[in-house]
Formats: sequence, C-alpha cells, structure tokens
Amino acid sequence: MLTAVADYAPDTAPADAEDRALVGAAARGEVPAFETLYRRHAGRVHGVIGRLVGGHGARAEDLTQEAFVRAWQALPAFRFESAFSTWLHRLAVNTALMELRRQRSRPGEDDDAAFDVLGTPDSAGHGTALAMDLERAVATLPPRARAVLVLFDVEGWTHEEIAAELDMAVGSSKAQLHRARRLLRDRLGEPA
Amino acid sequence: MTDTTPRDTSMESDSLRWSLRALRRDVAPPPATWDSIAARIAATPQQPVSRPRRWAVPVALAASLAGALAIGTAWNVVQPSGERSTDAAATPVALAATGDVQRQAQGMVREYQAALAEVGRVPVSPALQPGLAELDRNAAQILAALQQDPDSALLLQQLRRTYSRRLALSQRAALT
Repeated sequence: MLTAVADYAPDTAPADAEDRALVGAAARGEVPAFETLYRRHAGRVHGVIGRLVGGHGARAEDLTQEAFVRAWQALPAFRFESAFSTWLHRLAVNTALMELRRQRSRPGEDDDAAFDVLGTPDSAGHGTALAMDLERAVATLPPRARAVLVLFDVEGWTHEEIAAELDMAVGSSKAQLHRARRLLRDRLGEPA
Repeated sequence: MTDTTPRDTSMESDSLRWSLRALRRDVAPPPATWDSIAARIAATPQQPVSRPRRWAVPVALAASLAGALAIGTAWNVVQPSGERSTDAAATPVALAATGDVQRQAQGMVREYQAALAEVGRVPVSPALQPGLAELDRNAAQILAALQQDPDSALLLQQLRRTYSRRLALSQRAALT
C-alpha cells in the first residue's frame, strides 16, 4: 500500500505539508479547510471507489460522500502516523469494501449472491463485448475477483494487505487474482 | 512461428498489467457531491477526543474494556446467534439488552475514544503498529456498516470485540 502511494505521487512532501495544516483546521471543525481537502483529494477517492464498485455512477458517488463524511468524523483522532492522502485512500477503499461486507452480513444471502449484487455495473448496455475496453471489462468482473484485481494490479497492494482487508486467506487472494486475470483476458478476447 | 511460447505469454501478461496500472487515475465526482457532503457534515458532529490525565490511563482503559466487554457479554447472553429477537416473551434481561443498538454503539465509541485519546500519545513500538492500524480499519468499517444497518446485533458484537482487542493491544503498548 505504501509502495503504491509512493508510485502514485513520488514527490508528496509539499502536498503533505499543506494537507497537515488543513487537517489541523478541519479537525477543529473548520468546514472551509475540509472543503479544500475535499477539492484536493476527491478525484483520487472517487476514482478508486469507482474502480472497486465497477463504475463511477450513483453508487460510487454515494460511497464517495460516505468516505468523506467518515473522514470528517475521524479527523480529530488522526495522528499523522501516515500521510493524510494515504489515510484517506485507505478509508475510501474500506468504505467501498464495507459495502461488500454489509451485503455479506445479511442473513440469507450467500457470499456470491452478495458480491454479485455489488458487482452489477452502474452503466447499462455493457454486453457489447466487442467494443468493451479494459475499464469496462474490469467493471464486469465478479465483485470479489474485481476487488482483488483492482487492489493488486491497479492500486499496487500486496496479497497480504488484500487478504487482511477482504478477510480472506492470502492464497485465496492469489487465486482470485488468477481468476480475475483469466476472465479479463477472456472478455477482452485475448489468449489465456 | 506462431505458437504462444512462455515468453509471449509473459509479455502479454506484462502488457495487461501495465494497462491495468494505467487505470489508476483520478475521476472527479459530480459537482454537487460536495454540497451533499457539506449538508451531511453540518449535521454530523466530529468525534471529540478527550484528554484524561496521564495517571488515569490504566483506569480509563480498564473501565473501557470492562464496559465494552460487559455490553458484549450481555448481548452474547441474550443473542448468541447475533440476531435481534422478535420473541414477545423475551426475558427482562433480553428486553434491556435489545434496546437501542445504536445507543449502545455510541456509548461504546465514547468510552473507547476517551481511553484511546490518552493512550495514543504514548510512543508505540513499530512492531505493534500494523496490528493497531488493522484494528482501527476494522472498527471504522463496522461503524460504517452500523450506519447502514443500525439494528444489527452482529455488528455491535463485532465492534465490541474489535474495540476490546484494540484497547488490549494499546494497553500492552502503553505498558511496554
């Protein structure tokens, strides 16, 4: 995770310093400071949430809202043990994955059914396989496989981090990644 | 030669991974998103962080642990399956315990944060930090789930268990 963040923003020190002042103000309840933090980070938060839930439509917007509300609530306890951007990114991922867990916790729904619910892409008409680009192909993967693929191949997390986050064994994370890549190649029409 | 050799496969795999990595980009949310967030946080107080005196840390920790465990234990007695009872003939203990899950969760959060605020100022061994971070993530996820499903006894149980583990680990960190 930390490696992934470093790859993503190799020179983050000035931004982190600016974030620190804003976080301090926002933690004291100053909404304008929090809005500035939102403006700085909303694209990244919305981006990763959309990739995890399979589209940047209404569901992703709701979860983006939820992530920032949770960040607002938790800011007074934030202690800069990591960069704010790292903390917020993790919180965004947790928010999206919590939706998976919430679905799984409902009595009477097995895991696959719950993940399938979340995995329904926001956009309609995605069955035009011939015109499907990579992003859309990822969006149509089964939810658990997609989550592992996005976190590993897109966000740069390790299998250990993914396993902890998704409450699965490391081996299961590797198996899901293998499955996701195979399905992705199938849907893109590439040889396995 | 047109066969797919292992090297070809590896190149294809690398190509796919590079393409996937390129998907990691920012996507701006709809313009009205901030307005919705602003409306929600206006009605959402931040979680206060109290600052008990240093000597009170073990006492606060013990009280929080005991409180959290007591709530959880009562719930376990009443709801071993983790599901809310609809039985009208429930015992008085059951009726008391099946009151307001949200209220119990909020009380648990307040107790937990009061203890944790002070413990957080104690330097923590790097060896313990991943475990603490993981438990914090779990607690945040459970709280978010409780907002979605406010009557879930299962989630309350999970929160109690997570806070207990987090406080026990914090206490261990503070005493070492």
